Amino acid sequence: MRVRFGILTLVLGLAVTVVGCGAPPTADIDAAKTAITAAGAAGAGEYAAPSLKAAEDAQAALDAELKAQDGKWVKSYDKAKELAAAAKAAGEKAAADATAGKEKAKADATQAVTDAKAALAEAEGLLEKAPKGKGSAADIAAMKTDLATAATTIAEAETALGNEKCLDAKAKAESAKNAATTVKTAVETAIAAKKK
Amino acid sequence: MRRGDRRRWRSVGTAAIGVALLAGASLAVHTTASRRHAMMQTAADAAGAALRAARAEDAMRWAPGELAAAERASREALTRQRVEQVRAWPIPDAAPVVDAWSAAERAARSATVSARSRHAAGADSATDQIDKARQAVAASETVAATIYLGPERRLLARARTVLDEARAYQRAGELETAAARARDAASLAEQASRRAAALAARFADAETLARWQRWKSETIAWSRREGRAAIVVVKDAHRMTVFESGAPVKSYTVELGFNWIADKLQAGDGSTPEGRYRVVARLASRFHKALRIDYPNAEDRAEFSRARRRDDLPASARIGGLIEIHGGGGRQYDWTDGCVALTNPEIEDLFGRVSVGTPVTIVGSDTYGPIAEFADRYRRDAACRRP
Repeated sequence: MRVRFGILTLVLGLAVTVVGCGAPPTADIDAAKTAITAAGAAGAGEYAAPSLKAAEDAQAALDAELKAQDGKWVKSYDKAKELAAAAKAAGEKAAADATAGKEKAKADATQAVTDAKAALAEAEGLLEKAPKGKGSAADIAAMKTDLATAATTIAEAETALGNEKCLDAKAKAESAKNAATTVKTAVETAIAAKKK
Repeated sequence: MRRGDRRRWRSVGTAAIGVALLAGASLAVHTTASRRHAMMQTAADAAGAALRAARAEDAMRWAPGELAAAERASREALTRQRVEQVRAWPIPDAAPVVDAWSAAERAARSATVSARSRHAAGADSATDQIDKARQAVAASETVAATIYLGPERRLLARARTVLDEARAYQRAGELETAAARARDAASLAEQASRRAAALAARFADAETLARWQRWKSETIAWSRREGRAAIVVVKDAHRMTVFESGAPVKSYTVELGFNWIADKLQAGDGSTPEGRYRVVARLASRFHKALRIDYPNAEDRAEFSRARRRDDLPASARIGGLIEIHGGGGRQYDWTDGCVALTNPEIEDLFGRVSVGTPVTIVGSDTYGPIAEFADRYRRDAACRRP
């Protein structure tokens, strides 16, 4: 009787062990997939492409392991669990890198717009002090046209920034700053020539 | 040796042989398995390196299809390797796995080659478009320095900012956007040049040029016939010549209205009038001294009325006046509101040569000059560009 009970316990224990090891770590796999999807949604494709690729590679390793275990009678998902954890970590890193990259791009574009606005204000202020009189009207009108164009470009840069098109915003802001600086230099030259 | 001892030694010997055979078999399995794992790993490493190289060449942007195919092949090879490792443990069949990795490596190398070549083509295209746009803007700026574009100048200003945007995109590696922006900049500069060409077109018009030449020759003939002084101003040459008895006796470089390219039509347009006038007053002026001419004459008034009837002028437009030859010049650019400016010593000199009643003939040009050439060249180029 005692021997039979021992054998039964052994068989049950073995069955529990086999079944327990044989269940795929669904929660871990889902967590890894969610982390990688979230990274993509956070803009990792644009702002942290290498990190996203690393996460996708980790996901590929996990998928390979799961497929390998599928073909076995006695499954072991210990390695899959490790790979799922690695894929999740890589996904989270990609998301964090994307957020940081986006913030940096936004900060750069915001700074470029601020610089352009400052350059425009400075050029407009200086143009008010430009030597006036017969003959300067056409030059001043031309420079005002240039500054009006720069102001329009800054407005476009701000719209692009609002739409999170940071590179577009930065490019427009830099070009507007250049235009304003060119006018400023021209007015400074005119003022210097007048003083001579 | 007793029989029992012999049996014991035989058992020991058998066990030793068994252990030796088992050890040998294990060693053989281990060696074979290690070699196959190493073969698979070498192939996997090579494919991984090729894939990293493709990504480093920015294949994601320049060869996305080829890169996706390489990544798919790599995933398939990885799966095949892992399945084989598990299925045929401890001695996997390495050949199909190595083949799969080799296919992935080839796909990655192909993606690298495509990306490199398309990237180079994209860079060349962006550089080419930016260079073309830079030339178009520079040409337009050169023209704008000579020909007053008026409100159309905003086209040129916009062309410059869009060209700057193209350069910023090029620096950021966004080559396709850079090329597109450069094309926009070139188009804007082209529109500004077209406006300038339209303003310059009458300098290439044979009939207009013949009229100007006739005015000039009639003025010189008058000077010869009357034995008196006459002034001829040629706007495109920025030259004023004083004739005495039909012979040129003095020539000056002049500065004109900022919009000298056009004929004066109304007050404030910055144009220097074209026509046959006379000096009506010798005046002291804030520009040293001035000779006022009788602009607008009857012909100018008639042209103003015609323009008004055509609705070419706003209701508030006035014909203007107070056109003079005065001092204050020597600035090396066209700055007046329509007058003709000399340096102060030159106006002093001119005052000694002319008097009230002296004819002053102002023409756009007296020969087929650079402005006419520009207009004709632009017309020809535009005809070539037309599909």
